[in-house]
Amino acid sequence: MAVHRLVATEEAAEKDPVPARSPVRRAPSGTRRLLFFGSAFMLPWLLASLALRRLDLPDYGAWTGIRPLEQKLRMLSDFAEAGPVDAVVLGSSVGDFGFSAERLSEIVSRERGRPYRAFNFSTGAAEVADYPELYRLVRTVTRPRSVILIVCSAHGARSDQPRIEVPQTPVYYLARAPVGSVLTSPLQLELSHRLWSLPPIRYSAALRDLLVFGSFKSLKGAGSDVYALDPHGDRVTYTYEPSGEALSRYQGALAGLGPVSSSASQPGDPHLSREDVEGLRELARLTEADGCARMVVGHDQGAYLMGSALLPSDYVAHRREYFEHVAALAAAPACLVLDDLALPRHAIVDPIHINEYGAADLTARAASCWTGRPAPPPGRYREPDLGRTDPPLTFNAFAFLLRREGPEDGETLRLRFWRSIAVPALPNGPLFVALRGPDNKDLVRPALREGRDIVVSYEGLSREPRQVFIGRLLTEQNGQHFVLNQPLADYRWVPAPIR
Amino acid sequence: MLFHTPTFLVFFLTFAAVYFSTPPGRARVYVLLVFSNIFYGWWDWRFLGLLWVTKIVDYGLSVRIARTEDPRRRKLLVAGSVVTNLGVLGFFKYWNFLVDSALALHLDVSTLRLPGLVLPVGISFYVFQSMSYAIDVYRRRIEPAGSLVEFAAFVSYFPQLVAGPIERAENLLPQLLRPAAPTAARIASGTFLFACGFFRKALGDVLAGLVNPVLGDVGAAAPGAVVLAVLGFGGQIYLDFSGYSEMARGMARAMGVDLMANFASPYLATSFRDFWHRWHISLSEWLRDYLYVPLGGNRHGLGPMLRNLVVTMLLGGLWHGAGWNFVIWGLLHGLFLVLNVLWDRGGRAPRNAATRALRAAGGWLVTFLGVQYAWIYFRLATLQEAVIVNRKIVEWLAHPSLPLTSWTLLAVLAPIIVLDLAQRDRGPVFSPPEATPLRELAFGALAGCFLLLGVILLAGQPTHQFIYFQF
Repeated sequence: MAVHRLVATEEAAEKDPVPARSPVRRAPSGTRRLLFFGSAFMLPWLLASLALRRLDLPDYGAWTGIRPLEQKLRMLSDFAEAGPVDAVVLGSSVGDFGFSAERLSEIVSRERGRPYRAFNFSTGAAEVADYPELYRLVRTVTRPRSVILIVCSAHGARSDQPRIEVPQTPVYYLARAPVGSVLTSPLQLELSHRLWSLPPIRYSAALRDLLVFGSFKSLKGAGSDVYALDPHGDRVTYTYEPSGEALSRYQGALAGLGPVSSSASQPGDPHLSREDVEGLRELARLTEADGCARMVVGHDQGAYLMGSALLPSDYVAHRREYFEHVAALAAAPACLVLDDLALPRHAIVDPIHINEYGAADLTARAASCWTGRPAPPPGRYREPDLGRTDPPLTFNAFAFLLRREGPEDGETLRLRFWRSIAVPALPNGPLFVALRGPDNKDLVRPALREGRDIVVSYEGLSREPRQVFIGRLLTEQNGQHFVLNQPLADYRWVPAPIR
Repeated sequence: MLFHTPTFLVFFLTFAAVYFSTPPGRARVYVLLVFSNIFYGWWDWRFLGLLWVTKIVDYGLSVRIARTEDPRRRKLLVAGSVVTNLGVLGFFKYWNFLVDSALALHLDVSTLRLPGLVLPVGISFYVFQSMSYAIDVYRRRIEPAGSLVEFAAFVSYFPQLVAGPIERAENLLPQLLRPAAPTAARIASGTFLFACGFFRKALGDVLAGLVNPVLGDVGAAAPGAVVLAVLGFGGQIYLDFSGYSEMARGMARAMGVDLMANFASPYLATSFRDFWHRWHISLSEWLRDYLYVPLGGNRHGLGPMLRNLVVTMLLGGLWHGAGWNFVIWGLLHGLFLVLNVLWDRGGRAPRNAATRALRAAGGWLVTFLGVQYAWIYFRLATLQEAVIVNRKIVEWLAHPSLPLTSWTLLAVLAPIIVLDLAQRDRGPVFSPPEATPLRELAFGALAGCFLLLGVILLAGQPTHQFIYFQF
């Protein structure tokens, strides 16, 4: 029966060896045979690793289960390879959008006269309780000299309200990803990180999709994919909140949202959940063991940063109390710069977040906690009416804001739009850029493509200083302009005219 | 602890380090026993006690069977072993099934139901292995093991403890006591087998990811998707189980032990009888030797033989699980075998090669489709779902069209199909003692490719239990 033939063992062959055909030719020794086999066994791995480094495969972020976070971790790794890391910023989307590690690096470097390098490792929906996990991930690629904890007052949750594990939060995804089972063991985490850095494993999800479906079927864009990342890990957006009503509604609802005063007579921590308290203490322990300093930077939701004069005074007082409490738990100094901060309307992305301008202004102010020098007051800019969306079809959520300091900036605009899996490619047709200045008039000009940039000339712009423009990238069809879904990643005013 | 997880890799490397640094002989049997207990206890240490009860009872009874010449006493002792083993199996596996069946007949036995009753992993495998030992001693086919430790090491040998192959003492026990030296040839062929099994398991998991959503909600699925899912499950269970068996054999081979092959290209069988010579060989041989033959086998004419076939397959179905779906699955295969026997008896042997080939092709198609159809009852827990699947198959036959199929997936499956074709009649393609350096290079690279592909398919994916662990 075929079965019995299959079961035949090599013993039979070993007992009855084939006689050597020639006394000169000897069979290779066991070690050599194993070496042959072992070398050939490793070869596919080696070749695959070399090939995969050259292929531009998408990274699914399968190790952490959070692709944007893993993207930042790889960026941080590259950042750390380029020099020492002075600070890593930990926070939620409020810190992701609303704190500029790039700006902090610029200011502190200038003040200290030596490079200061900060990286923003904030990630959407992170709670204070998740900061130790974020720090552990950071430690797989670098050992920062300090961590900056961006703490938003809206995080306040009482200890008698146990934290519910909600889908879409980092802790939910981390717990279900390969990294989840090794996060608390530094050795296993390190091994796991090294393993997942091997190209065949790092790109396994992409390769699996290709092998099984013939396409990157499981690669799904996340909300954060439509925002650019600068080299310091800051998520960059130039969009704005068009609804003044939404902002007012948030401010009106403030009384119900404010942090609870420590004078409240409930048991437990007056401000934070048990997990948050434990998280802050754990972070303090972890960083202390690494000789890593901590700094708590108070932050708040976009709608509440438009001017403390608009906020109830007891909210402002409780907010300060909350930040000080968090700082005490983290055994860290508190950097509190919000009390007299009044961001302009054009610095707000939505009621929760601030944009690149807001982040730059807030960070410039916070930098005083490092430099000891107060930041110069930000200039006042003239804005167009941000609520107007006429003419129709030329506005969408990707309409962006540009600042122009004055005529010295030049009259040629060089724009760079963000490319990612969530953003459609630029169409081949003609492109236009519409700018609306403080006079609420649209200037529509044809744009040229120069490599990855879009260049457009606006000769004869007003010479008035500090103006804000609303920009839209348009295409034309049947003589009508249509706005494109292209998020702005960066822009520059340049004096040179278009070639 | 699953063979394809990093935890097992650490376990196995630790075991190998301790095992090979221990002097050959009895001490190694102790090491094997300790690690086998850790392996089993990793799943649930409480059930180690149950495993040991089986071992102690069977060892004790076997020693007594060997010592006595009184046929009546010998029969009583072996009956004690059978009753104990089947009692343990029956209680853990079939108790709630029997109570539920009685409840369905409106008998008031609800208080007898034990909702917390957990099925110990691998119980069906080790109970059969342990029981066959006692029966073999009774039949004087083997001498009892030298000690309880040796016997315990045989029953709980970790590579095949939880999902087979169900080994016979005459094959495994001597090898455990005097394993072959771990030569380069053994390590190479063991690694090749393991890598091949790992790749099979990974492919099985990929198919599980495609099949489970459809079979989990058959009512909502399109007829074409249901047909593909049924075929997909056939592929999944084969790849999953044969993958496990090959990994087990690969590990054992590297350690100097040859486990029996459990699969021999079963989906290339040209008849149902041929299928059962190629599918889960260790179980079909066990059922043949300890059930079919004692029932009378083919010794009493056609009628009793057909009855014995049906009874054997029915009990074989029940061995897999406690449920009417397994009964139907077993009965279907019993019926297939009956038809197969009748066809063989009625038909004339083809005279020329072309007719033989045509008949083999026809036989293959009928067998393949029959086996795949029977899997419906194996996979779906309720008869209502099976009825829906049958309806969808009929709908599909009326309007046959398949959803978009990924050709890349077929390309990934191709190496297994090629291997099965190559090994169908010739046996293993990689036979190390005869291997030239060129062959060793080629098979080393092939093993590396299998492992690489397996890792790519499995990395970061939820870990799927081996299907046969539930039995």
